[in-house]
Amino acid sequence: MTGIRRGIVAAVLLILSGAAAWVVYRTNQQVVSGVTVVNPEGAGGKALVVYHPGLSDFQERVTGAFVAALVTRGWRVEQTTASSRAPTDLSGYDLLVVGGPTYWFTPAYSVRRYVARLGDLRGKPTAILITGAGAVSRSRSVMERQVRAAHGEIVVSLALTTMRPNDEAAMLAGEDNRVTAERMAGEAARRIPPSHP
Amino acid sequence: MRRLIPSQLSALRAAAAPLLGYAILQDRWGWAVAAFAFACLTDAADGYLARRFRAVSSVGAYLDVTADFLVALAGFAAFARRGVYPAWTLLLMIIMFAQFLVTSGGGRPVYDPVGKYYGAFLFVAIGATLLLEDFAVHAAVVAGLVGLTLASLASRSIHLLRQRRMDA
Repeated sequence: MTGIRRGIVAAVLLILSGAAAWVVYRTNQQVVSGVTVVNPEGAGGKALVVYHPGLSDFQERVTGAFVAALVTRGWRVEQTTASSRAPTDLSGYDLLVVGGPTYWFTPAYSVRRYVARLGDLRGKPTAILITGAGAVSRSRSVMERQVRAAHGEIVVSLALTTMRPNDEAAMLAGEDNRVTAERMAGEAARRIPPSHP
Repeated sequence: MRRLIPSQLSALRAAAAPLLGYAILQDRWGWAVAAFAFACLTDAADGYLARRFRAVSSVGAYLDVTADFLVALAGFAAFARRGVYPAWTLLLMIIMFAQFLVTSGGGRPVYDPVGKYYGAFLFVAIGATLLLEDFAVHAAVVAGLVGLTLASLASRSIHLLRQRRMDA
């Protein structure tokens, strides 16, 4: 191999390693944001939604559909991203919603770290919203195990994907798989009864 | 007669491109993997057979690159349609293919040093996307694609300038 050829191979490897390093950094990075209150007048109960938005808009869309459906059932929703600044005192909330995209076949690190910081959930009703490209079953069970280990009561556990059909019948009927995911998130949220009916 | 086999393999690979795209769109992952595996095998075989049968030609080289481009384009277009990759990744590929055609000027194909790895990367990217369904893999593919496109454009410019200087 000549020196020039070796240099080119090294440059290509360097570019690909840089790309991989960027992905590792971005997927482990927490996103800090304030708390947004949706439906402040809602009297059905108080929900805290903590999620990692991810690199695409898929988690955001699914979480948005879930929140919108909670609001239709009268919930007051406080929404923020999983970071060191997200609320950890859950005493004022009737429902916890945690969600994040799947990276390296596990839920985003910032979400796992957030749940770990919560400590004992003392039977807090918890909804899990996992998204992923296709291989999401391991990611969902990792999140479920973590919530159960913290003594949370899982009321909803959803794993929605971009590549695998979320609903075979809807896909055959021509519905966009991402739209199906949003619809399923909304339906799941509507099944959670308000805490103060 | 057997000197035509490499070009026929390239043509068959080009014909497999729509099947790959359709299979991804229709969620037929088995068919998609089969079409992709066929494309990889013919890509490996056509170059080897062309050398073995002493059938290396400019037409064959263009056919090989065009077939690779069509497979990559079909795969990424289907992934983009399903929301796996942003649509602008297609634009990068089209620009790269167009600059290959323009700078080769219809004569002997001009391969730049980094560009040789570009096609291989696109194939690896399609394989990884089909087999490793993970957002991190998708992000790595997009980042790698952007990095290699920029590097390949730079390397091609330097390569062509050096060639012009040598010709002068």
